[in-house]
Amino acid sequence: MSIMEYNGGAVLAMVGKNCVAIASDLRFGVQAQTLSTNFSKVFPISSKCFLGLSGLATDILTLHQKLVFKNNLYKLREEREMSPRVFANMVASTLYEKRFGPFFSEPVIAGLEGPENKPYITAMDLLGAPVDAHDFVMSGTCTPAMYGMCETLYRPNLEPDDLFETISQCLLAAFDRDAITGWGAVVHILTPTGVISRKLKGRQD
Amino acid sequence: METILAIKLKDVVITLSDTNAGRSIVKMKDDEDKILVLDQHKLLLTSGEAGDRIQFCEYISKNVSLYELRNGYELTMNAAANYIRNELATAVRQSPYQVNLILAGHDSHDGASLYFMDYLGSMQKMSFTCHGYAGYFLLSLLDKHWREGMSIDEGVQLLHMCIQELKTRFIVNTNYIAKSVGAEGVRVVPLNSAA
Repeated sequence: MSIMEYNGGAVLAMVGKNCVAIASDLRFGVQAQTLSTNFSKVFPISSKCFLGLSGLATDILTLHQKLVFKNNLYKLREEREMSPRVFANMVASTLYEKRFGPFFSEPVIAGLEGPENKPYITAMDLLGAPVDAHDFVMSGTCTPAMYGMCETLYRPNLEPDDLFETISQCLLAAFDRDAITGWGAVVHILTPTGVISRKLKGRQD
Repeated sequence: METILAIKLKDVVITLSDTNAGRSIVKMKDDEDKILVLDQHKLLLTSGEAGDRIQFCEYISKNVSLYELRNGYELTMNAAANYIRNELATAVRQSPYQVNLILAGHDSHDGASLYFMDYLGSMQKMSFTCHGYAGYFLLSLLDKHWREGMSIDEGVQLLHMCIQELKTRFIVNTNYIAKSVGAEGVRVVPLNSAA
């Protein structure tokens, strides 16, 4: 039994045309027992930056609290928002600080960078090793299934509505192949004009 | 593992716990009250390692009282839940408290609410929840019979359904105690076996 598979869960982010999508499942459980179907693993940091965290639930909550705290301090001192790239760097540093006793959580960051709102996504492992991608990133217990789905369905420069359809199909199909992920999903589409959030039902098992 | 459960009704949270206190195969006490009254509008149900349970409960209880003394008002449910979670999460990497909890209560901000917490520091606000072996028997029963905005009578009926299920299928035979918490405060709910 791996500590990263104790609670289960998955997060996925995808790039579109002047927009990004980030999604997670809604299951909160302990090994085989599902306790709640309302645990979103995607958290807003600003209107232009969202953070998704997979892995051990307690570390998801702790990391989220720490990062929101650091973000708030930055905003108070700098009197401006943190850009997604800078935020991602801060997440990586926060994780590496605990190199020999890490947080058991693997983040995914999705945002719109700069005044031109250029889409930016990145993911990292539990030690903070980042990987920037131009198409999609994911973390969680069903990453192989998600990789397969995304590689097949993804096309560059999708409009927000098409991006929503694509990311939804990818995650719903991937979740059905993992026992400890699923029970619904939440998808956030970040566009320069605002955020559209939708809940998906999917198979409730 | 002890049975503790809580169900959110309309403006009230009703809680149940078993009254067994034992070691291995010996039942030392059968009227142990595991539902701690944290303050006028909060109940803390705990299950787990015996020493950790009492120590952690007392620590939380005194700190919650201190907050009220210092500030002149009670902690909100959300604040209390997050405070308890942070204590658990900080301890988990040093010397973990092996305590699973349910915090149930009422405040003017959120109405009746209940929070599930486990010994690692996971936390989730829920409509009904259980800890221990009870979950295997009762979560599906509650999924089926719980509705939004149930009255206290319907809630007590649901509790009796749960107790009956445990009496039928759970190997451990024990008595139960139930308490409710709402805007008016904490009350002990009488559980007559006839119902």
